[in-house]
Amino acid sequence: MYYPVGWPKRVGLALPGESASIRHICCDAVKILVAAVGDGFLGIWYANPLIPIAFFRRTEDSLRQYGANQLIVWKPDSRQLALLTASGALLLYQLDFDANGSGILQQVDPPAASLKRESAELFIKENIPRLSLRELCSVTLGSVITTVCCISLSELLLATQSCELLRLQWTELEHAENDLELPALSAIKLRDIPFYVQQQPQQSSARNVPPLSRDSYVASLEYSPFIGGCAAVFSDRRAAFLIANHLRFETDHMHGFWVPDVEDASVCSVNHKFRLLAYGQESSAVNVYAIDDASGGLEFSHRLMLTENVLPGSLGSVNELKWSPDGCVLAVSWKNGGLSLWSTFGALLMSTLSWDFGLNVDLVRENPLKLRRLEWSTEGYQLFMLKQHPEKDKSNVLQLQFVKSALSMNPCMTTSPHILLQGDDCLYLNQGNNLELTYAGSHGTFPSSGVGSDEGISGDGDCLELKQSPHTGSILTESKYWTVLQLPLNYAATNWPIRYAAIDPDGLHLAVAGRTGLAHYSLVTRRWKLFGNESQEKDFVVSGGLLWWHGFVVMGCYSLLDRTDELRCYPADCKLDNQYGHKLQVRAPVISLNSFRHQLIVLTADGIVSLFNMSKNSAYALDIECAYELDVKSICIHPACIVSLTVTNLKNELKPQGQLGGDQAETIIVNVCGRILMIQRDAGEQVPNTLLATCLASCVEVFWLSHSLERCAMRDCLWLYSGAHGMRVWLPILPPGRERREGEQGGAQRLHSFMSKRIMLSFPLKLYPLVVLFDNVIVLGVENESTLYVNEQGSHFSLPFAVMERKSQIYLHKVLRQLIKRNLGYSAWEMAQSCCSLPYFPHALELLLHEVLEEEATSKQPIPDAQLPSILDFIREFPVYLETIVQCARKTEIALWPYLFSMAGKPKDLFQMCLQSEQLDTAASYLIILQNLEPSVVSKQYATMLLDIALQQRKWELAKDLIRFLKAIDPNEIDSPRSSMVVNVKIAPPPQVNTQQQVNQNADAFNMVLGPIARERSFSTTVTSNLPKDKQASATPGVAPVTESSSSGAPSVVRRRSTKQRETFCIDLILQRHARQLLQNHKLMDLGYMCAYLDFHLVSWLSQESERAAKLDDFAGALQVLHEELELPTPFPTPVKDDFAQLRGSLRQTGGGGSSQTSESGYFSLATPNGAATQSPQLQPSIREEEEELQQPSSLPILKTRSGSQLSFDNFRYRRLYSLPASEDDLAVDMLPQKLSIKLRYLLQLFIEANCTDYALVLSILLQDAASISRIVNGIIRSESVHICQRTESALKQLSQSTFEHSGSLYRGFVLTLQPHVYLLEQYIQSLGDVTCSPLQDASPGTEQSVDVATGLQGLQNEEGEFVPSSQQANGNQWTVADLNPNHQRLTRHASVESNGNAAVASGSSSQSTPTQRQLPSQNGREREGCRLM
Amino acid sequence: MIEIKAKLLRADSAIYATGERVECLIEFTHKVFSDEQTASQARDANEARSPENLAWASAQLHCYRKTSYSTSAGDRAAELTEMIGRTALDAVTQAPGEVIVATKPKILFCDLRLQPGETKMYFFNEFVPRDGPPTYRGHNIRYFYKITIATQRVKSKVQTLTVPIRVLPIPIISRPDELPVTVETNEELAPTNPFLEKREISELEISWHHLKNVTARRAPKFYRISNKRGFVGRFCLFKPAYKLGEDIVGSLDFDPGVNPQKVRCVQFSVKLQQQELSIRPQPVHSQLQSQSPTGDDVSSINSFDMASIASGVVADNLHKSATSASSRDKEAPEPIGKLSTTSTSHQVCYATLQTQVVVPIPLHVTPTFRTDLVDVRWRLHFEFVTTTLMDFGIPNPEFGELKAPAEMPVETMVWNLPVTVYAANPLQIYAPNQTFNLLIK
Repeated sequence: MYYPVGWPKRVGLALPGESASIRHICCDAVKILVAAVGDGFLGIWYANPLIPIAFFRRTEDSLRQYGANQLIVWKPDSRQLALLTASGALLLYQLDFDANGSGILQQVDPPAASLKRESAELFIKENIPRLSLRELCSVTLGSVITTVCCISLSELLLATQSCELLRLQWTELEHAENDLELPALSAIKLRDIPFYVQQQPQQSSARNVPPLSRDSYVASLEYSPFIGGCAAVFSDRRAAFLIANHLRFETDHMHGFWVPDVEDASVCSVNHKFRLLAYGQESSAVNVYAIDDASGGLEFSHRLMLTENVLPGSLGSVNELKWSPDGCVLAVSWKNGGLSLWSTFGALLMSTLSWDFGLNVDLVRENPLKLRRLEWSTEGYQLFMLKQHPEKDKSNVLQLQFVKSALSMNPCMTTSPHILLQGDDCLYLNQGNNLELTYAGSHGTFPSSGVGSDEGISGDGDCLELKQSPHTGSILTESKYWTVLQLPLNYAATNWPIRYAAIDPDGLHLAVAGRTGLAHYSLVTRRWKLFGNESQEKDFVVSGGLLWWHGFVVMGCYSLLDRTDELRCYPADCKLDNQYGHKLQVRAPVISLNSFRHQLIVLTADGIVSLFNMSKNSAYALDIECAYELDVKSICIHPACIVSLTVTNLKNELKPQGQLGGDQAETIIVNVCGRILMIQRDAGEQVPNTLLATCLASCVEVFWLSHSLERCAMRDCLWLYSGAHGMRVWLPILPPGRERREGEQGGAQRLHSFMSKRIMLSFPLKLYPLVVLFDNVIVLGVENESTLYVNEQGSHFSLPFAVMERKSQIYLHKVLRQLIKRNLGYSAWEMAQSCCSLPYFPHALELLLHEVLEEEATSKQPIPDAQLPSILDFIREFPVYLETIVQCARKTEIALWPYLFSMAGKPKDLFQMCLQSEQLDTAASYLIILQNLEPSVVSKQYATMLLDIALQQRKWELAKDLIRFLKAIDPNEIDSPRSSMVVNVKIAPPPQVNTQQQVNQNADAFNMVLGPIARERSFSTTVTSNLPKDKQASATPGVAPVTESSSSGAPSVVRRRSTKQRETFCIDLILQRHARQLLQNHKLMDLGYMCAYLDFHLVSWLSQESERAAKLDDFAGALQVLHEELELPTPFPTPVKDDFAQLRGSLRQTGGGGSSQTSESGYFSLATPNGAATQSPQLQPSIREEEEELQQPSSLPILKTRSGSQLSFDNFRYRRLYSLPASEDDLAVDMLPQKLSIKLRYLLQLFIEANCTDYALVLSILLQDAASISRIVNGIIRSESVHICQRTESALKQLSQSTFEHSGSLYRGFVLTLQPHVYLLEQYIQSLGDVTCSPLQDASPGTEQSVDVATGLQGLQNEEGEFVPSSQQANGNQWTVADLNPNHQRLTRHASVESNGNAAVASGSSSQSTPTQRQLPSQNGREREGCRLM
Repeated sequence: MIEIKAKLLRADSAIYATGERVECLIEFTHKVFSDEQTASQARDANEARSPENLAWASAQLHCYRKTSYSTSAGDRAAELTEMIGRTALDAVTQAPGEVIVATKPKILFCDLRLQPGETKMYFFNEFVPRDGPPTYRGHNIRYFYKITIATQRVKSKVQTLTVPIRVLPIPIISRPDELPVTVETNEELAPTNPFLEKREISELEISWHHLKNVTARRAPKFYRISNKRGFVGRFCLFKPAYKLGEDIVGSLDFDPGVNPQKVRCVQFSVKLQQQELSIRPQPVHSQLQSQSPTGDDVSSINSFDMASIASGVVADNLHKSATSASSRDKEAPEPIGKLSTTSTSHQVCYATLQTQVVVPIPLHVTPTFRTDLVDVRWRLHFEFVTTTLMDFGIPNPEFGELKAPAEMPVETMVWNLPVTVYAANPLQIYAPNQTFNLLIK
């Protein structure tokens, strides 16, 4: 839980003005002073601020006699130092406090005002003591002293080269004159003490002959009182654990244990709190052992070994091990460079070998961080690092700054859902869970806010009433910013550093305790609260812990004034003052405390656990009463070994539902040296009994309890983190159908009394957990990352800059897997159900599947009990099943697919299921799998199927991708065999075979196997010519059967080779079919989207369809439908069908009137397109021709002018009519949203281009675009197609009719403006009628050639209303375009020439032909047969 | 009794960037208190049972300004107030200060009838005006945003509920030619089909990309810090623009590289300071500023300008120009404005050869911005305490003890370096907000 921050500082600890390399650094017991030794000098520094106090330089003689300085050891009272020299002499230094001086190196401002210090922080408040350093004596023994370690205030342990351990009083040293005789009594001859080898702890260990060789001696030694012995490393690289039966170390009472399996030890280090011994090895690993309480021997705990980013063997031997002062972290450095931090039980927290050193640093060759010595400074916030090979004139001392989790000092912070880290003078806070609420996709538009779908509430600017409580989804937001809180200067200046930090569960209040006193901070007001009275602040020292309880900050402390140990509470809302505080005296120093609901549990140094009940009297006062006390000395060696404790109502058995409300905690959970003990209260007893303590787990660093949770299925769990052993959770197991059985209570209990009520599951975590969010099934932690700021070689700042990043990890799938593995599927299901709504739930399922799949599919051994089927069955319970399978498959290797799908079902079936459940996107994902596992034919077939559905469901993007997919299928591949899933479902083929098959599908491979066949030659010829593939294929049709026969027996579909064109043709057919459907249903918008997304050429298709699907029969109806589709208000307030019926009726009744004539013709024109539609292909070219002619300028100058006048007349009429309903128009235009109208206009353009006048008309009406209508009408007239003219005219009339029949119609005003067009058309048609009707009448009725014209015109003649429409069917066949066109062209001209009177003439005399008409044929020179009939 | 509850959708951070959409759920509940009901059942059972009516409710977003600067543009404000006064909801009266930006009021409902115990929920969303100022609480001026939810019963007063939000400024992009940078493909070249909806890239998104570019790390700038006695150190700043919540990281190298060293930096402090500059300097205020003893630290702007120009090369005489008495006495060419220090990094660097400066930018501060009245800037304020006492004043002994002297003469030099602070992603800031409610009896 320690994280480095920033660059290491480089500090110079040499004598002033000199530069020398430092050999060893050692902090004194209270970590206030730092001793640094160079070759010939010793310096005493103040730890913070790092300021020199005194130096002592040895004489030349001394240096020559005893050699250079090696090692320094402080006496625990910081008064003396023992210095070990290279030649094995011990120098003793005395440090005296110089009382008469006020301080040292006090900064004095110059008189000039401008050069004076201004900021408050620059005036150092720390009083640096004036110390004087003198050499007391030098001690040499008969033998060379190899290492020194301090045992206690009075004693010192020396190891000599003669393999003896020597216990000495500090005072003995002091009085010894220069040469000390070896006191025989206190010497422990290690060669004489028994050493045991501990192989099996049960077996009484056989006495071993000490295999110490003659010249081996203790090279490294560390003593721990809690272990009652020393860890030692001998010069022959053997590791031992030396222990004495008595505290008096004597040869007779001592014995040793050889550390098994460690034959190449280099260094050792002891963790006092957790009672661990760590031995560093030459093999670059570190083995950590715990003390086995039963035998007193060693018990292997774990092994620390860097595996990532490291070449094996490149690290060299471990050259330094240092546990942090709080025992939470072990720093390890290697000979070849590198530093790493490990948690107590072996989780890697940080390694410089995974740092980014930039490109030009090769860590294997030359690691910039080659460290020799490490030393933790105050509270572990800094690590002094001595570099091995100092560069010339540069200091070799680096100081790396650390930030640590508040948990390390204050384990009661596990209840907090916030990540709180403490630096030496600042706090890092990361709050908020990872979930950000979102609302139905219409999430705030911030870019990096994650993926928000665009649907949902799109109507911006709308205030909506919500019918039910809003669906708030959530998205995962990673890495919120750290809130960095700097300690207020006036607190930090004298109370540096932070020792305890606590945050309340709501994350609103923070409390901090430094060397003395305390301060707290409100995150709401962003203000610190300090003691108003500074002497009160200085009067007490917080110890044992700090926590928030209902607005009070509760702590254990030692009062310097009264010299008593106390519990204190201060209310957060009040001034920080003793008068508001609450005090309760306790007997011994508080070591640890924790709270559960209203209970406070306190462990004091006398080994008593006291339980207090807290009650709040008012906002500012509370009562604390002791409920009971419990002696826990029996369960721990020393109370200081109790890492953390809590009280809870968690029980071994699950309480019946009714008694859940009991808020009296019944169970005490204690972490003793990593062992979790649960002390339960016996039924009927008030006080828990330590005899009932049960050990739940060992190697535990931190534990969390999930009580007080309603929502989550993971309530009442105990969470344990045990470093290298991963995370463990102690879950209650609910019998399936618990609810049901509760009704019949008694029987159920009896039945299952033998079943276990709880289960311990363990799973690995990649991250050191600091916070477990039970509701979100996620753990939060912090990871050390590094960035490179400077790339400059040789610069100190080219080292990576360490930063912290918040990370999270989902653990749901791991728990689920464990549960399913243990056949507790019901519990797993319940748990998963409660997490269903989490955004990463599908992801968790996917991970679950993926892990199991990878493990089982790649296992070399046969799996006796495959988990995959049950996992799949489990996932099948959730709606995301299909998606999960395919997502998982797509993220795994293809080689594993057969295994997956042999269990999950055939991809084909899954695909079908997707289609049934309308998960089209998922289905599309399955296509990729199908493509890989099935013959292309199958995937093609399915893709086509999906394409159809996608089109129907307007999934344009999907359809686009599908088309791409279909087009990408190589037609050659259609026949290539795939290992189909039909192959033996149960015995999944091993993946290797499968890949081979895939390889074999290559045609070359076939050739190799089957010898040169016909294809071979074609290949050799086509290599250079680079023919298109399908040609190749068609050139060698004979190959197909060969390939098939060589396939692995899988049934494959034999198919004729199809060419690329065929493929695209197929797709085009589908598209066209769909487009036709859309058009027939008037779904213009969809049509627009379709051609936009699918690259469908609408214009060319439309022009094909203009006489078929693009023809409109019922204009009003179409308009109505369009309105519905576009979600516009209906154009005709009453249903249109009735109107139409009415219209028909009314038409029948009205006779003779000009307008009614045309509308009647409109009625008949309804029937025409139906017939035409059946045979449109033949008609199609005619339209083309018409287009061409439209482009031709009219050749007759007269007509031109005429038509010109006509047009101008038109416009004139327009304006007049237009201006009248202008305001109405404006309103109506508003009705169409901007975007929609752009789309409609675009469509209109397409329709006009494609000559689909019907739709063009409807659209222009919808757009209320009179200009475009006039364009269309003119176009129609110019096209000279009487038929179309009539249709158009009738359509317009029909529209105006229906408009006027519905008083509320939207288009009323607009339709009025169309009257001139109708009029114009009428005129034109009449003019045509004059011309064309006469031949009709003249000709024999059986003449089919004239039918078309006749049909077109018959509307003019009322008396011929009953004309048989069936005869039209033939029309297109006989009338070729070339024939028809000149006639039309001519007629157009007529229309403009003839005036109104013409109509009357036409109706009157049918056989008569006008002079102009006669004239024209001669002009054109191309006379039509049909016309000649006249 | 009707209870109105308003809850911002973004529960974890009630912070919005300009141009972002504020989304708020507003709940109207006809509350029936059971205890009250039993007590007053006899009295007004009818009243409790009868449905409640609300004539209308509207919601609106306002930006207020409260300033001690005399706003000559009073007429503008008056005009605004007049305009607002015309609506039924007089927003000006809702909060102290004048409304400078107001969105169009949105009607939530008209004539709402709530049965006892019934709850209706409404969704209000509104874009934070792009051109508005950020939320800022300065010395002489304050800008703040509130959502005002107003409702009225028939024949009673208008009741309002205000929900404060914090607004961060996202600078409006000045160069539109940077626009296409953010577009992934060159679909621009394809003919426009109205049916092909391109993913709309909002202006906000572009600005955010732009902001990310601006705050990315560029070539570092080195500043050689020397005083008249010699070289003090070399400071390197890796970028000039930061986002909220980032750490300002600089490296400080005291190793001279050449011997003998003349001057030693004993300690230094780096402060992140906010400058509030009045744009139209008020004579009264400037007087006050120059008199105020704290926070008014006259250092010539020129000095740091020179330093930044001379980045990478020797920017000598900083000491002199920054702290000499003459510069202090003479009229500052540019006003310093009101200063406030937000975070400090202090190190005693007596023994330090190479170290770093890490100044965190708190998440709650207001980024650099400028309005017509105020200009808010950020700067790093350095104070280097130097001494010429390179050793203990006495020569190092050949052997024996060497004690540190009691005193050490020091001199202080001051230097200012401007930095720009930009907004951060509001979602990344944790600022939980509570539900705001109002009871109408």
